[in-house]
Amino acid sequence: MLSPSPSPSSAGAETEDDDQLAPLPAPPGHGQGQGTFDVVQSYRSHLSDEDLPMPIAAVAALTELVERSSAQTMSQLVHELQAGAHKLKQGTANPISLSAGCDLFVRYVTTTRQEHDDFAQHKRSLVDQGRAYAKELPTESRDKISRFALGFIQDDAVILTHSYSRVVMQALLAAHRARKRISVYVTEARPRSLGVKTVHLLERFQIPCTLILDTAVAYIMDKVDLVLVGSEAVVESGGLINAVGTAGLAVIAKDSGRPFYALVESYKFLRHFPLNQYDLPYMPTYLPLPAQHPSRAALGLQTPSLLLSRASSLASLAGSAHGTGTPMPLSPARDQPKPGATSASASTPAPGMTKEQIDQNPEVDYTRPELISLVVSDVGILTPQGVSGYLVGVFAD
Amino acid sequence: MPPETITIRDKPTIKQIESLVSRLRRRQVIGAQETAHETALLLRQIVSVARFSSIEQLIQLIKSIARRLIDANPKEFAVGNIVRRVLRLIREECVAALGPSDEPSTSSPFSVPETPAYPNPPDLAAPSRPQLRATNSLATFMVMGNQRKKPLAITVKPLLIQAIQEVIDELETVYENVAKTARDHIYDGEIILTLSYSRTIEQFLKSAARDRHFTVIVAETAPSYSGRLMATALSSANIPTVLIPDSSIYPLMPRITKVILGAHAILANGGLFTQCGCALAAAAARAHSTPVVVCAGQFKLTPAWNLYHEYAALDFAGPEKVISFEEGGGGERGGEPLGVINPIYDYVKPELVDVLITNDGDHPPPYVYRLIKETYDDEDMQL
Amino acid sequence: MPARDTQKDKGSEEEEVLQAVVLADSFNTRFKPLTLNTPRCLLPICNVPMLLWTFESLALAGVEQIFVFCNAHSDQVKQAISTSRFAQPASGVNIVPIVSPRAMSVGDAMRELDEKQLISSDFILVAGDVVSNLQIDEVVKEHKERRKKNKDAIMTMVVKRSGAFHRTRPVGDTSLYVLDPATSECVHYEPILAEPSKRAIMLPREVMEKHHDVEVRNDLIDCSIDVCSVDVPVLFSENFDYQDLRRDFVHGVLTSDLLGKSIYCHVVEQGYAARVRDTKSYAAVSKDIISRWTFPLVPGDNLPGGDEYEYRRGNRYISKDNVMLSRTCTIGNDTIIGPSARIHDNARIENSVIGPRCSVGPGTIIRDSFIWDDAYIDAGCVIEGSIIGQAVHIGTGSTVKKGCLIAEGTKLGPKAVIGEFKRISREKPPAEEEEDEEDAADGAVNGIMDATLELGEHAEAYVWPDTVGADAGADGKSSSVARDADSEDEETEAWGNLKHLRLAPCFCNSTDLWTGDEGFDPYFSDTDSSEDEEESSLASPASGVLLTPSGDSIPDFSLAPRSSANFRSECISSLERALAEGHTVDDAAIELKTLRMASNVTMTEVRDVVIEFVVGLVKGEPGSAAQKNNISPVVERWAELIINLVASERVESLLLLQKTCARLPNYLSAFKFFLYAFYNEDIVDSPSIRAWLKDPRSREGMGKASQANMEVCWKQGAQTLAVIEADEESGEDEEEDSE
Repeated sequence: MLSPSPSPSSAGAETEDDDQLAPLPAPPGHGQGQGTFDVVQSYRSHLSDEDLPMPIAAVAALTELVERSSAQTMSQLVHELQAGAHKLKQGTANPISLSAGCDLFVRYVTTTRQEHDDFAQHKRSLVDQGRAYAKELPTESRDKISRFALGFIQDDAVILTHSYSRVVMQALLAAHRARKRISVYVTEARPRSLGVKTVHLLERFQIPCTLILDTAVAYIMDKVDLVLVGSEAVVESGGLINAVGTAGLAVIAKDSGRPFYALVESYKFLRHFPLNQYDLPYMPTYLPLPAQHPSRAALGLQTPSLLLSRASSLASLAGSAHGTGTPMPLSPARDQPKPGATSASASTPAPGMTKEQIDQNPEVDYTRPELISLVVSDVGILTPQGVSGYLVGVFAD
Repeated sequence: MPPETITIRDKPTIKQIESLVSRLRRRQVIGAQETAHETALLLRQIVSVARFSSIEQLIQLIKSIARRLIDANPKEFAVGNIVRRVLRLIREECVAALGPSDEPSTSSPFSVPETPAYPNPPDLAAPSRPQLRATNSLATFMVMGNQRKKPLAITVKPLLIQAIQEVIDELETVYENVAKTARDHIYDGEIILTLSYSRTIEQFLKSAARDRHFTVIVAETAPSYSGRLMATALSSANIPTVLIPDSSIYPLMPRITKVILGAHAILANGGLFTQCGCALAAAAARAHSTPVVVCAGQFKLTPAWNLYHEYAALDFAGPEKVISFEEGGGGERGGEPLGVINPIYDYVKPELVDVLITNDGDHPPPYVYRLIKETYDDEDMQL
Repeated sequence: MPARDTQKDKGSEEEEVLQAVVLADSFNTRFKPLTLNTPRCLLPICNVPMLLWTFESLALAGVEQIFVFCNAHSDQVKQAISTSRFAQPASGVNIVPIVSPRAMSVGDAMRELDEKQLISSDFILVAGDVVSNLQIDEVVKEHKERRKKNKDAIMTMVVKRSGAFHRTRPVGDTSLYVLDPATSECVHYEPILAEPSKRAIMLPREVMEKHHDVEVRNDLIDCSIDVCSVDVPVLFSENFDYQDLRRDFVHGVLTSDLLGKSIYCHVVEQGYAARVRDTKSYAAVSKDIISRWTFPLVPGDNLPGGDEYEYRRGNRYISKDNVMLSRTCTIGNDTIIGPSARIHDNARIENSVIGPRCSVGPGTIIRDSFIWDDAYIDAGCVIEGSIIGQAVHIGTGSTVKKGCLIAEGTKLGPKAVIGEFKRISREKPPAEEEEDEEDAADGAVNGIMDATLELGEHAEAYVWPDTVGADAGADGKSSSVARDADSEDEETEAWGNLKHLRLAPCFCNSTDLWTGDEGFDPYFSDTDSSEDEEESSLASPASGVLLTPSGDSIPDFSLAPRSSANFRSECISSLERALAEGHTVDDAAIELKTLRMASNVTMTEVRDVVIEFVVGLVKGEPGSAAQKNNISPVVERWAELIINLVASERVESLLLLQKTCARLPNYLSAFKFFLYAFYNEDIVDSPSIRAWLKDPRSREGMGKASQANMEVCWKQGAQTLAVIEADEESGEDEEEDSE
């Protein structure tokens, strides 16, 4: 069994998370050989070294796990995988996108027919497929999506997009290459301000683009022909989970009668059915109201702590609000492939708003399906309702 | 491996193909029903004369001809729809006749084990299909270069012709089948608004009139004034009918209990291409919360999404129907010539439609994508 | 669908192939110099050669066999036919090109058709530049039905209703139809030209006798689509002088009692048909296509050439094939951008057609223009209302003003300035106007001292001679171009302008005026021979039709009312012939009368001409005895004619005689002798001479006759009167004496 221990430095960073995980019941079949392989570490290295999208990095990490697994039977292997997936989801701040990849891979392994008597050989074939998948699927699906999206982008179109998304960028470039004279408005997308990156890239390709404030969306909407956004995940309802601001954008687009398209690779489809913004899987609820509400104070339910600054009270309350005990992620962007952007956002905090205050804000929000015109994915163009049909197809037994 | 391409050598068939292509181009064949019928007849002819050694060859041949037909008049979606349907049937027949192992997409060793492949009773197969496809997206990706043995495809030819014949028969009975459930949708004392002329709706209303007493208000539908034809057809069938100008659709809407519309094409998002004027009626109906019912044959289900963004998708006819050449061409001395816009179709948004009645049953618009997935094979979506 | 019905009918009734004859040639120079290297029927309209539009129109009607008569550039026409999609075996249309180098008119082509025995049944005769979406097969059906009842119904002309000022209506090339509304038989046909305007037409009396009702219609456009029976080519063979289909054939058939044939009209209410007659109608038809009157024959639908276009808001058609539009360019309404065209930054294109593979440079403005294949227009140019031919290269910063035609391969600029209505080609124009030619080799040498013209440094171009008086064909063209220039907004205004700007110098020249609008001929309009033809037709007014009494029928040459100058020359030539051939005076009088009616001139004018003619006949040195002696025989010879004409208006005749003599110094002194001779021949009598003398006009200047000369004549007249009165008295005396 090959199980090189993770380097101490990185392990140190992760131990905190592991400690936090400790109270959770250990997954059944938490096996012997698996302990030494750190799936989270593997995930991160895939994410940053190979510039993979999160779900694919997760698939790659789990593939690695399979490769190193000493499981002798299918059920052992599945147990190990599930444990690894769980660990991954717990081990990252924003596990939504990643969990889609985990689920997909676990599902794939469990449903694949074993053709070889030799289990080791079967495992090898699984690993091969997983690698090929991780290697080719992202580009392939993005190509497909940009081909589909081309039909929605007319010559002379004015497009509004939010933040930065690889698939949207590729679709825009494809349209540009197809000699469609597009112009793009890009929202800055606080707090991470990845819109800046989008604008830089578009400018490099000489596509006319303008960076706008997130608050200027309603102002600009009348000039916009269509809205294109990427997504971290598409949930079963057909709604999107994407960088915060998307939901507002969608509401404004709907109000102005502008089509709102989500471009999403199918490996980001997630079997979850959130009912509202606070129902997101694996995510804490942000922005709680201060407990020391004047009215409550008047009722004498709680002693107001007047000495505390509002911000720090928020912070402590937020921390205590997490039932699972997961700490507030202090650097929300740490899992992102482009650390440069993170520093940019961190170095330019909004005037009048402290870093702590910013950190109270959610990183993603949930866009309801009725606000979305269509979901353009590599498995076809779907209505939001179609997503659930697709997911049922993949995951139903 | 792409199969060797084959061509039609039979002269009369070539002539038939060319003739349909040019008639489509010249708009001598128009209307979904008629184009669908002509296409089905042509496909039957093609299958009966084609010499193919594998089903793939036949499919490629049909697709290549279909592309020409579609290019000839891209606004007649029924052509593509019939082709897709026929291709689907061809595949099914082949699987049934030559065994499921030859169906390429299910032959993947990685397909979901508990999902049964073909054959299935069609009703059961339908829901299972997306599932199958879904895993395939992962599975087919992973299958690189698998072996396919060539079936003795030519032996299934009579079956294929029979299958196409079924499509033709279905087209011929589409009106009756849509009208079957008419009495469940229309009640005594209703006042129904309809526009333009559609054989489907005529049959539907006539069928309902056997059991129900209701009044029909027909908007005359300028500039084709096909509503007049509709009104006379209905009143001669003893249905109380009122003909109104298009401009009074909105003011009359409060009295109307149901709006029944025909469709030229039903798009995958549940939106419709209809005769021009229907979007106005549907919007008026929405303002008064009047239910909008759409009656259309299944062959109008079109696996297309983005057509309504294209300005030209509405298919603009010449100005002649709107204004005479005499008045519209140059104007009197010195006048600016008149610009005339005369779209043939309207795009009706899915949210304005309450129910679609097809010969296959009643469906809500958001369900259309599902119907389309069931009716056509994924690989035929783009011909 | 109608088309299918007819197919079924064909199947059941008879297996008759519907044939059509396309006259690809127009021998027309209205498009020169654009037609130097390309036959006109292959010039592109909306990026598709005109011939293909015609083919598609015919194919639409279910025509299965098409004969194409071509003459000029026949190899190119053949090539175009063989590469078109109609040449494919399965297209259902069989196109047969027929090269007839000697055919110079419709008549010649029809005679050749008759000779070759190609036509088996009723056929469609159409010009090679017709754009139509008509169901011609229905006209054919109607025609055949009629033929069953009446074998003499040999032809059905397709005409379309349009407003009097419709843009597609050819100004100066319209026709007036007199129809029987019950049967739509055409009972009379009258072509009308813009200049000079016609105020009246003559209807043969028998028209009213034979038909209960007639409609006189001025609102019909001739579509140049005719359904003909096999008799038509035969009739052309029998009447070898028929040249033109309308002027000769239709007119001939309608006015002839001998032939006993009849012609019908089919008035189209639905559908579009128009012919590209000149550059003006070129613009109008383009505009009609762009505004989709020809639907479904429009770009993006069933464009005959087969290119795919995307239709956008505002009648914009952008080819789907590799077009490069700059981000900052502006494409205005009613515009077609052809395949592989490249429109650069800040270029503006409005209301224009850009051909395949054209390049429009940065900042260039193109308005109301037609840019044909492969043209290259550099940065900062302004082009308005012009036609730019194939592969023309226009350098930076050039300006082309409205109405210009720039022919294939020409190079202009940089900084060329082309004034209005110029015609420019790469080849030298026909050599007559050498002073107008450009020395292209030297480039910079500019032969024309014209402020509105600057060809630019690297130009390879010749400017064609301007219109005035030089080239008869030029007027027709420039006028059409002028009209062309404003295809929509200011059509009539431009036409008015044109009259002032372009045609005004020509008004003094009747020949120019006449030929300026020559070429209304629906099929052939041959400039080189037109004048000869014209003269011959004018010079033979004594044809059978002419002499029918009381002007019942319209003589052949009365197509256009002529100016008086023209009439005068006609008159004089007629009189000269009468003199030379020794016609009786009666014959000459009738001839004059018909001429007068045809030309719609006053009697005074006729008298003027005749008197001047008679005076002119007197030869000899002024004041010599020879002259004096010549007078009385001449006057005697023509007295009868003069009496016939002068009749009651003797004073006026004397005034005219006085004027003539006063004007011509040779005859100034001879006035008295003329007067005496007139008196002797009983043309005038003494009371009328007295009345003349009292008439104040006799002592005033008149026209070119100065008052002084008139006074001289008047004095002579007074003297003569004295002599005459003396004579009379003595005569009376003598009589008395004799008694």
